[in-house]
Formats: sequence, C-alpha cells, structure tokens
Amino acid sequence: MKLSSHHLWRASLVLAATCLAQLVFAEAAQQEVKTAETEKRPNIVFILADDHRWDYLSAMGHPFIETPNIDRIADEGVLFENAFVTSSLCSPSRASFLTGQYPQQHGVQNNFTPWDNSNVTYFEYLKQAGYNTAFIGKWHMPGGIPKLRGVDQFITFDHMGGQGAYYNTPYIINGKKLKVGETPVPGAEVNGYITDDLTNFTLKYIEDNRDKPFAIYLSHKAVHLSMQPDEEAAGRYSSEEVILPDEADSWLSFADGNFKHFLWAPLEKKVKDYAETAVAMDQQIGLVMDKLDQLGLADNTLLVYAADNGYMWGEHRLIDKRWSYEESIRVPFVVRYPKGIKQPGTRSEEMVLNLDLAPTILQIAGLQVPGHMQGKSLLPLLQGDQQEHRSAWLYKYFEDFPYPVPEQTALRTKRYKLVDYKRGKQDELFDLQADPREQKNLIAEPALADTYERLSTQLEAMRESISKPLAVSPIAVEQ
Amino acid sequence: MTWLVKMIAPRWRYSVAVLLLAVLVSLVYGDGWRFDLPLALRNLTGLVLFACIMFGAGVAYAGARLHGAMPWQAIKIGLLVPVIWHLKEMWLVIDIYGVGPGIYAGLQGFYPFYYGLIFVVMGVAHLGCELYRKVTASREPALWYCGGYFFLPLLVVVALEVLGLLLVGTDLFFFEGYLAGYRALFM
Repeated sequence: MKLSSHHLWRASLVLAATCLAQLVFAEAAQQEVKTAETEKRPNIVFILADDHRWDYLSAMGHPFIETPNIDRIADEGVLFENAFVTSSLCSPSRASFLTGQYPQQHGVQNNFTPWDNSNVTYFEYLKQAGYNTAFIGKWHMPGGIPKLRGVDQFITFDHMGGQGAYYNTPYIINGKKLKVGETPVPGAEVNGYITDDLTNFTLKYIEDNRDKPFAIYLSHKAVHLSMQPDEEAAGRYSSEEVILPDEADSWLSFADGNFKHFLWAPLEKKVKDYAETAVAMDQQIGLVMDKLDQLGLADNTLLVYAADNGYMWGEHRLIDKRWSYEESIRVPFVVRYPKGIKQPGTRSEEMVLNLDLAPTILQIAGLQVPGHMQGKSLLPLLQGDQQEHRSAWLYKYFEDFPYPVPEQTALRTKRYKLVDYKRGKQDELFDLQADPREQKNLIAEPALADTYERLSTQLEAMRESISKPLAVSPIAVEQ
Repeated sequence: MTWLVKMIAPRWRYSVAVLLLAVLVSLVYGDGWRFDLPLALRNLTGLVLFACIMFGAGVAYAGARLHGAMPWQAIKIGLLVPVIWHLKEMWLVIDIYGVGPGIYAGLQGFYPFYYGLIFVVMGVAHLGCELYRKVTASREPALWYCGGYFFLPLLVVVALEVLGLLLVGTDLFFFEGYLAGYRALFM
C-alpha cells in the first residue's frame, strides 16, 4: 500500500495526540497516587506536659489522682512504664524530643545555652513529606523564640521568661506578639487559663486541617510551677491524705535552697495543687481525643503523651527535677496509634527515651530515620516486637546556676544506676531491683567492685560515643 | 555550763542561744527521719528552725538591748543567725560552682529581701524595747525615736525591684536581670 504524504501527516498527528494524552493521563495518575499516599499518612499529635512525673497517673496506681483521658490513651495504646529523659530539665529535654538527639549534640544543655537554629527538628522532614504542621505552646529554650523551620503555625509565648503564666499569658503567633486575651487563631477562644487556651488552638487546628495530614506539637505549661489548677479542678483533692516519702516532711519546700522554687506552702498542699493541675490538663487532653473521634481521625492518628521531666516530691529530701534519681528522670510516655498497635492496652517495660519520639514519628510517617538521630523508633515495640529496645543509656545533667545541683552523668541499665558527680557529692551506685527508691549507695560495696568497674567502663564509652559530631541532613527520604 | 554562759557577754547571750537552738533543731529536722522520729516531731522542729531564721534576729536584738547594747550593736548581734544561715546557703553553691558564683548566688533577690525582712523584725523588736522603756518608766533617754529606719532596707530592695520592672521591664534581683548579671560576669 502506498501512503500519501497526507496519510502520513494524519498518522503523525494521531500518534502525537496519543502520546500527549498518555503523558497527561500518566502525570494525572501519578499525581493521584501521590495525593492518595499523602492522604494515607497518619496525623501526629504529640502532647507534652511540663514536670509531670511518671507515677502521677491513675493508670500507674496513684492513690488519688484521676487521669481518665491519659489512661484512655494507655488502654487504647501502649503505656511505657520505663520512659526516661536524658537530661531532666525543661530546655534540654524539649530539644531532645524535637531533634531525637542527646543534649551533647543539640547543644541545649541548661537554661543558659541557646537553641541553635541549625538544629533540625522532625518538623522539617514532615513538612517535606507534605504535612501541615503546628507547634502550639511552651517553647522555653534559651535564645528566645526561633524561626522554626518546617512549622507552619508557631503559637508560643515569651511571658515570664518563656515560662508563661497559668492565667492571662499573651501569645505569639509566627513571631507576632499579641495582647493579653487576643487570640492567635481566629475562631479559637481565649478564656485566660493557659491549658484551655492551648487546647482551643489545637482543636481549631485539627478542624481546619482535617483533610490533610497534620502534625501538632501541643506543649503545655501544666503541671509546672506554680501548679495552678483551673477553677473546676481547684480543691478537688483538698480532703485527700498525702503520704510523703519517709525522708520528707511538710516544710521541706523551705529548706536547703528549696525555697527558690517558690513552693511556699506545706508540701502536702503543693502535691495536691500539682495533682489538680494535672487533672485540669487531663480533662483538656480528653477534648483533643474527642475532637479526633468526632472528625473520624482517631484511627489514623498517632497520639503521644509525655512529659519533659519528672519531679521529686521530697524523695532524697529534694524538691526538684535535675537530679538523676528515678522520680526526676522518669516520665509518662503513652502512645496510641490504632492502625499500628497490635495489642491495645499493652504495658511495656522496655526502657524508652525522649530521644525516641522523633524517630518514631518519622518512621510512622513513612520516612527514613536520619542517621544523626540518636533515638530509636518505638514502632517495633508498638507492633508487638518482643526484642529488647535498649539495655543501657546515658543521663547527663549540666550545671544550671544558681540551683545547687552538681553536674552529673549517670548510666542507667535495667538493674543498676551509676552516678558520676563532677564535684560536691560522692558518686553513687544503686541496685534498682533491690532498692528501687535508691536509698543505699553501693559504691564502696566490695561485692560489687566488678560491677562498678564494668558500669564505669560502659559509662565512659557511652559518654564518648554520644558526643561524637554527627553529620545532619535536613532532606527527608521516603522509606 | 555556768562557765560557758559566763564566757559569753550578756548582750550576746540571746543571739547565741537562738543560734544553738537553730543548730540543734536543724540536726533533728534534717536527719530525724534516719532515726524514725515521727513526722509530727520533725515538722515541729522545722517550724522552730524557721522561727529561728526568720524571727531569731528580733529576739537577739531585744536581748542585746535589754543588756545595754546600743541599737547599732544590737543590730550587729541580731544579725548573727541570719548571716550564718546566709553563709550556709552560699556554701551550698560554692561547693558546686566555686567561690565567685557562690558569692554571686548569695546576692540573689531572696537574700536582700530576706535581710529586709530581718530588719523589719528587728524594727518590731526595737519598738517593743521602746515600749518597755516607757512602761517601766526607765530613766534612760530614748535611743531612737523612729523605729521606721528599720523598714528602709526592705523598702529600698522592693523599690529597686519595682523600678527595674517599670524602667527596664525585667526583674533585677530574682531571675532575668540576676541571671543576665551571671552571664555577664561568669560566662
């Protein structure tokens, strides 16, 4: 058959049109797949409390505190009974949650060392993966309020040196300072009590972003000093009996420098204030959970509740965090993720750290965990993996003038804790199985000389390894 | 015991008694739990210790005045317990941060404010002494008619703090201003 130039021309046109159509449809299809993938990514809600110690939860058997909503997260998820922070002070611990790194790496070591803007938070990776992101609440790190990369909505405060106040804190949104009572989010009510306000901003953000994957970091002031509950919770436990540790007494808040914490009341009274403030916060956490339920988002949302450090209520005759004693370094850590948790209601005894949050979030979001993150993803534990998560970890408290707490490095294993004080106190070794309240220092116990040597060597090795400079890549990589 | 009492000048006896009481109750208060002493007793010793630190200066001042001390001498004597307590507080910090920061720690707002209160307590004791002089129709002339001088240190401390807040927008003695000073001096 002989083809005329006319036929050839027509055939070429048809071919070109077909190719073009294929290209257009392929791109559209690809876009559709990409959108679907993005939509499939889980939402992330991380709620961080301030100074909430691990056993002040009804789920942990506290004699009178009622935390039904945090308990519900545990009932529908996993409660980590051995969760710790690697430095028991607000600023370093918060930076560790965000970066997945030890303070020796991210550089926020106490209330003097500023946040380094070159630090990479998990938000940066999530943003690249298509998340809408919000940081809502207490930032409180030295160096002022940063321009946080990867965060779309950054609501915080610098009132009272970044601590905020329980009532009438003026907020800052994306660097813009607002007046007292002015809302940073149109449509979200400001009623004056900080826990309620921050929750309201969160609820609005969830509503507004229900159709896209979102990541929220809700960082409460509660239950930090001045431990002020809202009107509803105030007085709730006034008739409860507070049993203090054997070594404590009612006036400890005035003794030996403790008065600098402004707890100027009998210890029992402040314990009740603390519990009531936690109850007020728990009630607000319930509202966040209700909102996720109402919008049908709960199943595809990773919900984590944790605290930046614990708090000692008279143990060792101390009222504070900072120290490497259990009450100071242990925090609540509860995770709910209906899509990813095999056995809801599980209690894990594995030792998990604040550093583990960022890798967990990234892995659940379908991203690779960057090599510079020193924590380990908890996803295997959530999925029921029975393997040991970690056998030992390093605690470090850097001096924080003027608080009379010596610099200390501790190695915490499942059984032992070795504390190396820089000065001002004898080193300590505790057998946590035999002596969970750390009352008997075994450092000079001849029978434990070998154990001491072994732990000492391990502590030195870990001290060196976690401080080695790490290359940071801010580029998100899909799994 | 008598020789011990005789060794101490009468003007100093109340002050030394308050100091000894403070040392004794602080031992019971701090370490009583090791000997299973009841909480009620330990709480009581805590209250007595607190009273020694906060009000002992007033007792010491009055005791010194009743034994013939002039007001300035009585103030010096009254400050015995507060100064020792203050030094103990500084020692806690010196032990960890060294001498310079430890001394600076002793300047934190709590302590000037505390001394202000102590002067108020001694002022109240002074008024008590003057009242006693009047009631007993003492022939000695009034030494200071104005007990209000004793309120000046507290007024100065509070005024500086308030001025700092108004003019600079930050507290001078307690945290922000105070820690800024620490950064400038020691970091």
